[in-house]
Amino acid sequence: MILINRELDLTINIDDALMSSIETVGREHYPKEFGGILIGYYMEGQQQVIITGTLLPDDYRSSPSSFERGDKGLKERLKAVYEEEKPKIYVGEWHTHPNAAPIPSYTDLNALKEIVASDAVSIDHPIMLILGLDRKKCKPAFYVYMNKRTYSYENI
Amino acid sequence: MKERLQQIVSVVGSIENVTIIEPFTIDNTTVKGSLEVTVGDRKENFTVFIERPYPAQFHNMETIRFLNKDLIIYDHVNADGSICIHTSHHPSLMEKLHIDIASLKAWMQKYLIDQSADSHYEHVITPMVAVSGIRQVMLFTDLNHVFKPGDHGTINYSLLAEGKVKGIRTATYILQSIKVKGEDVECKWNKGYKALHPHQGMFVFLEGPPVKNKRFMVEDWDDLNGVLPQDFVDLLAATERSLRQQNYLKISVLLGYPISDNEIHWQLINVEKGNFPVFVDKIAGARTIHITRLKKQQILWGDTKNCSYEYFFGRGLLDSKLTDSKILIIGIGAIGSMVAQTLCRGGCKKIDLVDYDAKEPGNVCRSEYQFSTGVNDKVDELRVQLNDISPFIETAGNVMITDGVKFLWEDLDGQKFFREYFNGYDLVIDCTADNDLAHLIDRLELDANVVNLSITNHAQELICAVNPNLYMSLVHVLKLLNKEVEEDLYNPTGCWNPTFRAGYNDISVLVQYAIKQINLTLMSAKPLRSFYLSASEGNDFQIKSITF
Amino acid sequence: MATDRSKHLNDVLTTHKISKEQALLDKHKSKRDDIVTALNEEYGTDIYSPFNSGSYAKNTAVNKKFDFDLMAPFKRNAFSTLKEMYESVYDFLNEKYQGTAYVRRQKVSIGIEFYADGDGHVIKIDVVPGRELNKDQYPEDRKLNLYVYSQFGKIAEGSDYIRTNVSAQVSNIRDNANRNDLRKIIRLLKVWKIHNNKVPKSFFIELIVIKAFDKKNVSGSLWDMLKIVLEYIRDNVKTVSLSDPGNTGNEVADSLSDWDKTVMSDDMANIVKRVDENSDNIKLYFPLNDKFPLNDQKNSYGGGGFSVPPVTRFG
Repeated sequence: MILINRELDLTINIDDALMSSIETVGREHYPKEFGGILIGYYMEGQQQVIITGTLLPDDYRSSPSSFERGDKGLKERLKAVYEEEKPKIYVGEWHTHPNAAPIPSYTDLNALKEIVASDAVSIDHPIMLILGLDRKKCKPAFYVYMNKRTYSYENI
Repeated sequence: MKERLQQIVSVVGSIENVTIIEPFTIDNTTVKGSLEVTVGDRKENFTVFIERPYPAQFHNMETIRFLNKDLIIYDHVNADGSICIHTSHHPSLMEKLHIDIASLKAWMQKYLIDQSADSHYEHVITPMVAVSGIRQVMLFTDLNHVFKPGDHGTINYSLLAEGKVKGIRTATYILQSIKVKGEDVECKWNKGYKALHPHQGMFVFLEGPPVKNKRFMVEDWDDLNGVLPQDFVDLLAATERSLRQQNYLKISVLLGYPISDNEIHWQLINVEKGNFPVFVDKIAGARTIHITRLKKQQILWGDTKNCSYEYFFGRGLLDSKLTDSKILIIGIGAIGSMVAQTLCRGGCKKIDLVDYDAKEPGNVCRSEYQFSTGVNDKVDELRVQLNDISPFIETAGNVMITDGVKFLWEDLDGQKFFREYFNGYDLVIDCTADNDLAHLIDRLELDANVVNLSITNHAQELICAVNPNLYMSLVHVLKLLNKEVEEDLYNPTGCWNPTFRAGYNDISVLVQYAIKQINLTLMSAKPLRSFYLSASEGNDFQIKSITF
Repeated sequence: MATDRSKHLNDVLTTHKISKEQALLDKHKSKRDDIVTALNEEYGTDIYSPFNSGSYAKNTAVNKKFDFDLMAPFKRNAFSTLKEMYESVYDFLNEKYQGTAYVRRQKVSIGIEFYADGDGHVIKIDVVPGRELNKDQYPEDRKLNLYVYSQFGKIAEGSDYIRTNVSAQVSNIRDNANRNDLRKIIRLLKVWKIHNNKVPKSFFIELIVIKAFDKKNVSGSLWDMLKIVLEYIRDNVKTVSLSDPGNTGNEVADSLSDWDKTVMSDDMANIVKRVDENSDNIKLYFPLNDKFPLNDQKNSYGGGGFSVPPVTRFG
């Protein structure tokens, strides 16, 4: 699927199969939150990001209303995908909101702020995917962090 | 005590046109004596009682009384013959005596000599009696019907609450409807109150109040012979017979009469089972005639209060542009619940509430919720509270709309649906502090007035943005105040609902100020403008208002 | 951060330039030409040449919510009554554009609002029918009678026609508005009106700004000039007389109710007070047209190197 924020003129490409596997993982942890990082690459001009996969955390803590992603072994695994023939890099995060709307919370906004501020992070505008999950449905919503706030995307 | 008596005697004796005709003595703690007071050609005698707290008032009553039973037919004289005077406060016994006697003279001039009439209606004085130790109060509203003297029939009323006043059990009832000539004329309470369990009673409508000495309600049923229509007296007797097998304590009888061209008043009489004030009188003649008459028996008067909208909100009402509006409040946390209560107490008649959230104990300290009700949907709880406050408010609640706006926004029909939904109101007040929602509602370009109220952290500012251009104004003010990204928010647990730090007093002072400003603008028939209030941080608290 | 008030106002004018909407402008011109051709074909020798009479003609247009006004001058004998003229033009346009536009009766004009095209553009053209006062007099005096349509009937609304000289109105404002500064101020007030949904008609704004330039020494920076005009309106709008350049007998000031004049005076007072107090407030009253940002810098995801995100907590 392709998503766009028309105001910023930025797009996201993500495979439907990848989306459904992310949903499957999220559902396994339902009704607790869960998440991971998104990897992929930017197209020339950096207005389009291709999300190619997710890395699930080896360590994490979660409850129905919070999720803390650890970083155990993350560096090694990111290195591995960076050294592939087509290098993939860290482009953002995903997590679930069980029984709630896929709208960033204050904590989520703060999380993005801290990620961008981290010395080990070279991207300025991470993507955040939130899956609003309930027993029957899954509502995904993509955001990008820019100008100290989040911008949402619509499907094309 | 002796000194006090001497002081009173010397002051009273020194006042012009006042003569002591029965010396002042002390009986227990009360000082008693008699005076002759002269105003112009008129001389009147008064027995004077001065109670212990004098010159202070006690329970809002004067502690000096001037009595003359012969003056009872004049205005502002109580049943015991005491003259009704209200004077200004003075801490000195001497000065207060001068003031009170001057006031008595003023009463003589105005009501005894000039016999001037007051412009406002004074209710007749009704001696109230508790029935089986319970005092009865009946509340009524205006009724949309023109009653004629002689009308009588049945009424429906409901028990509202039971309480105690000065140790006396007190039952409060509300009149529900009056059945007159086959038509049910209903009191204008809201649905919730109309649904209370009904009891049946009776009513009769008279030309005027049955009084003696102009302003004192008659105290004996015998006095009502020839005043109450014979049909009604017969009905009383028939009612007693028909209820013989029933188990009941008393029945309520309302006695109504006009007090002006467009207002009527109702008095309550209780009639106890087994003690109906009727008997059959035999009039001997060519043929003996049997006629039902009223006995010599004390009337058990109850208490009534006119609770029409105009009286209920008589002490203060918001502008009609608010009270007549159909209002929607979105977000009923601290700000929204205060707005709702203020509008409700200000006389608003239609307030619908939207919030997806539940009330928790942590909300109670700074919003209009109670601890006693536990965890509850905010919408349901606030509706109950508004209904508890005003019998004239209609409310409805919705927990879905705000989420719906976001989920169904991209849907073409969604936008149309929400535009119609919000335009069903005259005034939409958004207190969610959800700027995404503000943006979407602004984009609907509603015909309804939209007001967005939010508070910055620590209640430093309250922002009131209105449409058109609501979102732009809101964002502009936030930028101006440098409040784009909030720091130091209060995260209870779980971080789902970070919220600003401020207490009830911090918030309500700003919310009340804002509502005042909105009400004033509407009163002056000017369009609403966006504004913000800025609370000063210094020692002297100040609120500055900046209007755009 | 303080805002340079005059620089901001200049930016406001730049982002509201009509030329930024060239495509929309071209579409308006082309639709207008269609309508002129159709009117000429339908009414033949009964009609003189239709001409532009709106803000575009007056050179005071801005690129938001703009429309075209087209004056359609008819000969005296074309219709026996003004109502007949008005209804005839309405019927003709309604018939012609049915299915492609909303056609509706307005106060002195017939409004045509075309359905949005593929680009999302909505073309709006108001056709104002008018009839010369006496046979063959129009080429000399340019005077016309306009029919005043009222859904409430003429008793409620007063007279059912307006006598005016639309050509004189246009040239008065165009000539005046060729004074560069005056044109800028008119455009700024139009930006204020459009963005804040204000009541006063453009014609009212144009005349009162001209009046302010006549009465006051309007000079200095762009903000200085705007402020002088705002203060003039604040102090005079409730009492000023604005006569119609097309007919000195028409009092244009009457087009605004006393209540609306009070509101306008309050509006002006608030703008001056707030902008003097804090320069940033100018952005609220006179916003940029964000459809045409000043610097067309593109947004991008930025960065793109190897990253390792820290432990992160989500809610």
